[in-house]
Amino acid sequence: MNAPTPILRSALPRRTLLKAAGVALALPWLNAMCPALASAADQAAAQPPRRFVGILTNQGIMPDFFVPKQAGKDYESTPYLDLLKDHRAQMTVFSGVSLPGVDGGHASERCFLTAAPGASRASFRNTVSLDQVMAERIGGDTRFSSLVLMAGSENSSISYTRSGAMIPPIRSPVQLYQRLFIEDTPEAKIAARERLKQDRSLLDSLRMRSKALESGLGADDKHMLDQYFTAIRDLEQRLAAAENWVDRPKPKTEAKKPEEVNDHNKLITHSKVMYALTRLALETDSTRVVSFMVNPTSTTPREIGGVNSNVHEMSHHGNRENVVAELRKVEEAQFRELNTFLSGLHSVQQGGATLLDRTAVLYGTNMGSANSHANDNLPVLLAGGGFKHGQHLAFDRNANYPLTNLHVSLLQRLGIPLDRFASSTGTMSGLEMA
Amino acid sequence: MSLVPRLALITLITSPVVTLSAADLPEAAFFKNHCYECHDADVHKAGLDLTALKWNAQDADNQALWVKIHDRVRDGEMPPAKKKERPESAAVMALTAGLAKRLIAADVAEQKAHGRTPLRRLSRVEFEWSVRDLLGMPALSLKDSLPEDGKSHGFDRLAHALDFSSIHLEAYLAAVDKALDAALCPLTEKPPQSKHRYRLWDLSRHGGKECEGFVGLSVESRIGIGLIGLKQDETFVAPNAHSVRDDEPYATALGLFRNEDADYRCSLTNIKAFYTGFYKLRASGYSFHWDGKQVQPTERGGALSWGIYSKNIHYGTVGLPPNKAGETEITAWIERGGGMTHGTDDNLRIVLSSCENIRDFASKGDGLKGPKVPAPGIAVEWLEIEGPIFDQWPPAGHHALFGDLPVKEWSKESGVPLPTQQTWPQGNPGSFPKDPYGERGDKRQKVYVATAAPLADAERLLLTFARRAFRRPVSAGDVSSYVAMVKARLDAGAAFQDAMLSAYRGILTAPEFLLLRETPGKFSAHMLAARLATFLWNSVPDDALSAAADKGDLLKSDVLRAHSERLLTDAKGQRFVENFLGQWLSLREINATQPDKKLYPEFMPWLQEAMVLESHAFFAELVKSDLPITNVVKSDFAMLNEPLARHYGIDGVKGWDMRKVPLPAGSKRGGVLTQAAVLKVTAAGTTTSPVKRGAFVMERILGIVPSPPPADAGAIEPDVRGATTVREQLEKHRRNDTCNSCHVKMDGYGFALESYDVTGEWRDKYRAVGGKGPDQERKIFNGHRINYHYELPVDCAGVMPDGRPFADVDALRALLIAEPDKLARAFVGHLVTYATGAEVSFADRAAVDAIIAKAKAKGYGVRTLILETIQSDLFRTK
Repeated sequence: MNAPTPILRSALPRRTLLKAAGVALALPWLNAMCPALASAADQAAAQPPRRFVGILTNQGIMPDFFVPKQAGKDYESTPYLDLLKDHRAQMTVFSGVSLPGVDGGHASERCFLTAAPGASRASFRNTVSLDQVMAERIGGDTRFSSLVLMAGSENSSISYTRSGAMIPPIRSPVQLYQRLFIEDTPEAKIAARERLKQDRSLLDSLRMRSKALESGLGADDKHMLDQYFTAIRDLEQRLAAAENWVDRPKPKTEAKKPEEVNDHNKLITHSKVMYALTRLALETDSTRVVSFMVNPTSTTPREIGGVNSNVHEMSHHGNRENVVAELRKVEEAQFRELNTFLSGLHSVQQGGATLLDRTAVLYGTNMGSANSHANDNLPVLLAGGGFKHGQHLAFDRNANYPLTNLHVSLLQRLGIPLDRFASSTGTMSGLEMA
Repeated sequence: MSLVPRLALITLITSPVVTLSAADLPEAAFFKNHCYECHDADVHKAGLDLTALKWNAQDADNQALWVKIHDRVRDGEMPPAKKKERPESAAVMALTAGLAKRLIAADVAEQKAHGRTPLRRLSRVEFEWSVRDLLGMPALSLKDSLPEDGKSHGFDRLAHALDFSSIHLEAYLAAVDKALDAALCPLTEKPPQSKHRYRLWDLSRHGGKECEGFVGLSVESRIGIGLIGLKQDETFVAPNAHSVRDDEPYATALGLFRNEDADYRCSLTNIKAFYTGFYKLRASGYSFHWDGKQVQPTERGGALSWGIYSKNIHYGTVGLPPNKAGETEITAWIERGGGMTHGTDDNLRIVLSSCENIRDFASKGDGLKGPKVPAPGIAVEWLEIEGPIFDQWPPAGHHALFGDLPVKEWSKESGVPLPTQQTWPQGNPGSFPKDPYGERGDKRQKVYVATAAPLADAERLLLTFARRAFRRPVSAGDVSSYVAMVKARLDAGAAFQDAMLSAYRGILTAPEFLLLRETPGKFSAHMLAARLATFLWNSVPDDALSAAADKGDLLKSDVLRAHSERLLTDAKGQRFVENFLGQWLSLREINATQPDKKLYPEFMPWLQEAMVLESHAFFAELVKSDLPITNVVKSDFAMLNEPLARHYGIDGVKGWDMRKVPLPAGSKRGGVLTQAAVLKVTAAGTTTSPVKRGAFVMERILGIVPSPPPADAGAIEPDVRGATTVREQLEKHRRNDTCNSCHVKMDGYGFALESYDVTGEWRDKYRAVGGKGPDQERKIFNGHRINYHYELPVDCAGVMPDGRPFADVDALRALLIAEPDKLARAFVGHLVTYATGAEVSFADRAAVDAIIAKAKAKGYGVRTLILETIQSDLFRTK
């Protein structure tokens, strides 16, 4: 393996570097990439990249323990926010926000990052999720254009393609670790290349066959066949991208291979390890976009002291004090894991900034009250990522402010020149870039 | 909705009126006189402004709105009854007739040009069954690795809800690879079939030192006891958690009680599959009763479930007789592997599926060997595994891919490249007996498929396979690209088997397989065969159906009828029952919410299993015996097993198997609305919702789609402390006129069903927890402390949308079955949507009426309705 330093003297954009470097590059983005001798222009070009992590916990966050009473910078903390007090200056809390038209109780979990309205309708179709829009624009520079993760029960993600199909999540920490850090054997690489070759020739043949079907089709029929063509083309592009990375060495890490989490009930253990791997993935620039669905639905996280009930059952608490108290333990445990994650990002220095400074972490839920399955007044917070934080942005609880405006702000912060996302009406009012 | 390009082509047809401005509408005068007062630009009640509404035949949303206007005026709902000035009936007739004419003209023009059903892909259920049938491997599991399908009009078979993306293509590819790998034959000889019977407390592990791990633990914690028939074996003790010691007289069975962790408790390390295939799983056992001190006879039958629950695999449940042992058997597809990983494992397990959980079973110093509370128990004498069972070798999958070509052992001397061998999961490291194929499966032989004429064989095999997969005759030209693919790989040095798999991958991801292609107009025999097989079997046509299509006979009504009967009667007809009910009655969502354990401690997973079995068996009976459609609402029989009958308070039903049970007059059961499965999927976990249940009746039973609630409708905050009922909460909501206009149409049905709780049990009062009120004992509860109490009474009276009041569910059911044609029309609407992959459009209404007219003489028999639907042009045309 050649050292990457000679190449770094050039002021070429990173992407060109990668192409030129071929097999040579160990880590896509490294502190080593902005050496002291580099010019100012080089340093600007080599600014650490911006990243995004979107996290949904899908069984609600009880608003009474989360939402501060006062707006602005001097808000009085709440039990849940107390658990994040180390990061008060690095985060903004939102209230009175929701995703316009997004409904359907639990069904709305599919729309946290897509904001597609009408999940309650039988004819509902989802649309592309925020992280995937980002991945389309900035994902080409890393081994994984995005990572789609989950912890807990079920097997669902919050990431959706342009056609509204859910992207299957990675739920196994071992599998994630292997994909990120474990180098394939030479034989496996040969097999992988052979497989890619087979796949591409298969796609060629599928294209030819579908072309032959095209003649004489009506408009509706053509629409379906067009989707089929697009699917072939997209997959070809993904295979081509994968081919580029087959021979490049994966980053090294000192972190040990994690234990598998098979038991759905180990919600917190599972979350903890997925958060830790997310941090490593960002730190090694294996990806810049991560979606993470924490799904406590069918879990009974007994590992949290005093918890013996299924979380979904508890979420229908009917205002019973003992159930609310037990559910609170589950939500608090989740906030503790979030806190550990944020502290971890904050502890990593890259190019004169912390990883948290460069990573926007969106955390929230799709139900303002799981008890009534209401989809308005969503408890949401944003940490890091280069915004002016330290405040509670409180909007009208009766006429909610569109959370999609935050989605636009997040896109723009990543340098993506889009000024609309789903139902947005602008950028997030009161949230400024740092 | 992707109502994308319905445009353009319509303009080619001159007859339908394409566009009209609001002022040019023939209906304008009627609207002005009767509707503008509420539906103009200022008031635009319900968002409707008739002064600006245009007619646009190219816009599906616009047409849907006009259909709604037509229907509401026709049904007399608009103008609303409270208006004093009523339009003359002649004016109403003229309006609806004129609208209907325009709507039908637009619809028919569109259908002539493109058909009703756009090109669509297979749903994942259809994909799975098709691949299973093509490979002859009925237990392959593929569906769950594919993205969830979208639904439209209640079903996952409509083109615009079944999108296709690279995620789908990738998932299909992976599923196809898995299926093809599973279909390979990895051994030249059939693996030896063996039988292993053991008793759970046999010291079979760790060199004869230990028994099954959970047994010692259970005995130690007193949820397991030794039994000699119906007597406790006092000498049966656990010196430690991993073994038991038994002196004379020896135990004949292990008695087990169920606790909270039941599904994960009884892990079997002795029952292993070293080779993936079908196995017989047998058990001998019986049920007994424990009175808190000793064993007693019981009247209650037992049941035992088998599964690999850590992988969500449930093989099935078998009934055990009370007091005296009986032998049971099920067949299960068991994959090689399984074994201990730290903390959890994927061993096969048994679950005591006739017992409620017990808690607080042990206390120190009471000298008991057994729970301190009364509890039902299951005695297990022995378990047995026999297999793998193959009725042919090489197995069916090999025949599907390689016909009669032999499988031979490969060596360097074979003179052919070594093909990729079938992937074998890791075996169990410490298994006893030892894994004959080695822990990694590396002790098996290497094999290859032998051919003397690779290209000729390739073409022959691919032609046969593609004929079945593409659901139509294929020519050499159809498979030439696949043969070329095989040749290219062979030329590059690949083994014949690998080269063939590349081609099969191509076939199983080809548009001709994944997409259901039909051409406008009357179907060809092959398109008809494909639609019929998709409708009733979720699959490709079988040989007999294909033969009828090849001959062209299938286009004859009597031949089509004969094949419809055949498919429906065949065991595979159950696929229709399950897939259709899964969606029509939402049974797929049976697991979506679970009742609160404190409020419904008697609810158990096996009760839920029985619920679904009941609904399946009931519908199958309606189909089999061609019973009138009114049975959907009220029948004089039910399909029950013992646990469900007990749940319903019906005596005299013994055993786990479902059977037909006559119901007395006045029974609160009979019909799908009062089935526990339906009552459970229409509840919201802990509480019932009259709105949800009412909407279910309206949509599924009466075929009227409720309008979605407006965005600001608000939600009811469930409260189970007993201070208020959901009815009282709804009343507030319904005081608002806008809310009431929709709720008046559905809540009534839901109120009648309030008499059933979230588990489908009858109730006169609501259960409540917290708040005040005494806890109440229930005798089935095995020493549980009951945490709920009964609070407010259920008020189950309601009003039909047209104002007729009813007192309770019986009165409601009487009103509903008085109009069997409505029930039949709604049912056929669902059936047509499911069977043809397109909703019933305005113009299709006449065809639906024709179907039900043909079934009227038979009292709208369910089988007749299905068969007449197949005979109709809706089914036989794109």
